[in-house]
Amino acid sequence: MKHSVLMTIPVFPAEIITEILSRVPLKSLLKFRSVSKSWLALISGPEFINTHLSSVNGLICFAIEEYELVLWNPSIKKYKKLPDSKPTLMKKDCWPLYGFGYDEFHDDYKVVVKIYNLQSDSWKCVDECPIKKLLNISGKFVNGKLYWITHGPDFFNMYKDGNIISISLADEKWGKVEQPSYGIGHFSLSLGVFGSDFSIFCDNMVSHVDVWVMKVYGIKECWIKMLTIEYPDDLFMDYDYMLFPPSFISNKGEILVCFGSSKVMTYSTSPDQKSNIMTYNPKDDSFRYSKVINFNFDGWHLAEIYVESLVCPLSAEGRKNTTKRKAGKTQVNNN
Amino acid sequence: MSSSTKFLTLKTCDDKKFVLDEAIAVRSQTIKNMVEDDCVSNVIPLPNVDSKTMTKVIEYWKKHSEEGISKDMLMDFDKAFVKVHHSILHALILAANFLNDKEMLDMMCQEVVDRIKGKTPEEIRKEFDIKNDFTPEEEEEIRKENAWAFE
Repeated sequence: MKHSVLMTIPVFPAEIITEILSRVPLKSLLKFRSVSKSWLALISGPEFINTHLSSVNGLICFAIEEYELVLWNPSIKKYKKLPDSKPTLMKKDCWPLYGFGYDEFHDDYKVVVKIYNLQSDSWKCVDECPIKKLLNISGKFVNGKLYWITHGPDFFNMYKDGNIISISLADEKWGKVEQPSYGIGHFSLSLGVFGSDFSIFCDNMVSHVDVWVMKVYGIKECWIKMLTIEYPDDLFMDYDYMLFPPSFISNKGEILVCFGSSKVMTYSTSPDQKSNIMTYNPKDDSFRYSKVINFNFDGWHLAEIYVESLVCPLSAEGRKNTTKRKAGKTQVNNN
Repeated sequence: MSSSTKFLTLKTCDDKKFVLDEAIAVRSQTIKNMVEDDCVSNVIPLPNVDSKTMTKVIEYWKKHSEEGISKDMLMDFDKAFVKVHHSILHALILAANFLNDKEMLDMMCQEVVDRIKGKTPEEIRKEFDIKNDFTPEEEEEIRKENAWAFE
């Protein structure tokens, strides 16, 4: 019997190799693809890629000069330029709205401007967006739907009586979201993801921000005011602050928030300036400043949460193959 | 038999017997299921675990079942516990997997990850005793696809 030999290295079954590799940082993982054929198959397999998925699945979509769209996965350093959408977009006399998300139902990534479809590498028209006056250009993707805020009738309080519209990526149908009652006075809204739920940050622009979270019970949507974040005392200066919510919530229950200013560009950035990015702990109502390196505070106005992934923006072909392989288990053999 | 403490006898693949308090042994989900399904007669055979490995597993279980032990003390224990030759580490992982002790498996897998994450494919093959079944051309091709990861 060979178990008495101490130096024999036991052979791991596939499930343990998967368990180990799913914790390995992405850069090492890419290196390990060349260990053996079975490791390559495992690391490229759909089960494995799925263990590294996040809500945006590691892909970032951004627009250059409004019409040139790029799909990019910074973790694996691959990008794809999307087919030219200019001719279709230019026909419309409104400025384009953007949204990017993952259609779980069809296992496909979609960019809504018109809808771009990665599997067929083409643009396609969806039904006309019901409302034109959008307040945020870039849509928020949560649980299979993209959301935008629209303009209300009052120019001086434009979030009042506006709408929140959504499009479901699976069936490409537009919808309107019933909103909570925010109370009186001026406020500014921004959309976010709280845990895994769709949320609205309602900023009264003076003292605090309410965080509303949408829970779905059966088919009925229902809003819960999860918490109120008071402005941190030392942040309030002589220019107006607003909150941009990447609203990431950590497993310790802390919430990532960003305070910015609409006038920040007119101020020079001193090296000792505190970061606008901080974590808020609802348990003791405290803020912790996060140190941010390699970052210039001048002129930033958008923040997104990013989690690295192995999803390749290039190959619709490769993705189709991996989808097919879902039927059979990926075999891993260490010898 | 005492009414408060029940003991189980575990038999490893090299025919060694371990008598253990049931309350400790049920840290293993596998053993717990057997106890709950009432299929425990006298001896529980553990055909996939040898006595050397089982001794380590029991050491871990006993420490983690000690009453009044502080978190810091457990952390120090865990840190020392995983510092073993990789053949033992791998044997412990297989045992934890068979015994279905998620907490222990997580800890051991994390230790493997910490050991391998900076390594080259060649070192990984040695660590896991894997044969390179790529032709040199194939290997070169795969490396090229993500050349930056090797920088």
